[in-house]
Amino acid sequence: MLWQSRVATLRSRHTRPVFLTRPPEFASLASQGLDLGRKGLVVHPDPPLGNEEKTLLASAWSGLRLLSMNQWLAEMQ
Amino acid sequence: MTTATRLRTPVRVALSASESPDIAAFGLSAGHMKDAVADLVVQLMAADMDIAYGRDLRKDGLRHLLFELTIRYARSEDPEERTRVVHHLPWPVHIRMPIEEIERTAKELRGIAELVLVGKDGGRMTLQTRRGLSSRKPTPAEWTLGLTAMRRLQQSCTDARVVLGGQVDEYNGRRPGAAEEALLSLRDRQPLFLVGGFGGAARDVAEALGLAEPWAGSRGSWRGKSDFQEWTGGDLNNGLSREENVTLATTPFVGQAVVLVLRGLIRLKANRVGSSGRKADA
Repeated sequence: MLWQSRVATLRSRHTRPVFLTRPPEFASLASQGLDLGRKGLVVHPDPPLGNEEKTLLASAWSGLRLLSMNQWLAEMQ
Repeated sequence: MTTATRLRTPVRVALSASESPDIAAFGLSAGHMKDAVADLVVQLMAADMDIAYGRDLRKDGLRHLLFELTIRYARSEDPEERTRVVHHLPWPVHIRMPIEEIERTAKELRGIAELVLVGKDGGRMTLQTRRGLSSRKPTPAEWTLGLTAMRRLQQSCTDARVVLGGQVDEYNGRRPGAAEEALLSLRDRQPLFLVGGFGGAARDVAEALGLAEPWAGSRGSWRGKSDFQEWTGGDLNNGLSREENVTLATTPFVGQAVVLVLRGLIRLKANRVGSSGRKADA
């Protein structure tokens, strides 16, 4: 609920990312309708993904950037 | 905001985090401080940055967390190349430790952190050299010189410093540790992040720099505080705007502080202009 409230606030200002309610996995990305080859930004709850997870997911979704909420907020100007 | 701070790859960040005398007055506990340090370590390692730490990782309960993070954010599959943390042990601390305890510490940290013994002169001391010395109680002069020497060495091998909490009344050395580390960073234009939400030296320095308003528990003077009079919030050189530094110096929200530290470092990395002259082997 807290996550959804936070995302709702941010989404109104920044519509670009896809927000996930859980850490990204093959199933959760696919269930978001994110086709393989899709480009864009996915924001998920902290902590940031480990390097192995990132490598694995990038093998299928090489065009997706996966950032945790804090990483994304840190990059926002 | 800086545009030409020199960072190296990988960026190494010094963490100064120790007990704050104000923590209860700010409605927080030592647990919140540990959470803040853990959150910072997670975000820095995930951002491919390394860490230098001057306190006992085991006593601070960070050993297990670092073990997990070292694997999670490993750059290499080679365990020998996985170490992302440097733990500096100053002369007055390790000279009173039995050599067996130092060896046990180094062994316990293997694969997690590199234990660096710092000599009286601020140079790196090998374990073999230390074995040739008898353990003894350090003199007051050794405390003063040895702690400053360690802080100088740590500064020379890091690219930025984050300060949280810090005692200002009970300390060994020339001046309160967190304050001395902040001062060294200011003098050397090393990027400095003052996380003031836990009070202590970090908050006091932020007040001295005009980033935080005095509060009911603000202290008057302590040894070395006047050294900060020549500096302002504009001297932090940390990639953040003044408004962001004011927020960092006052926010009670750990998540917000962590985001701001990471934001400053990301900006500094983006403006990277080459080698900082950091000692690679320190």
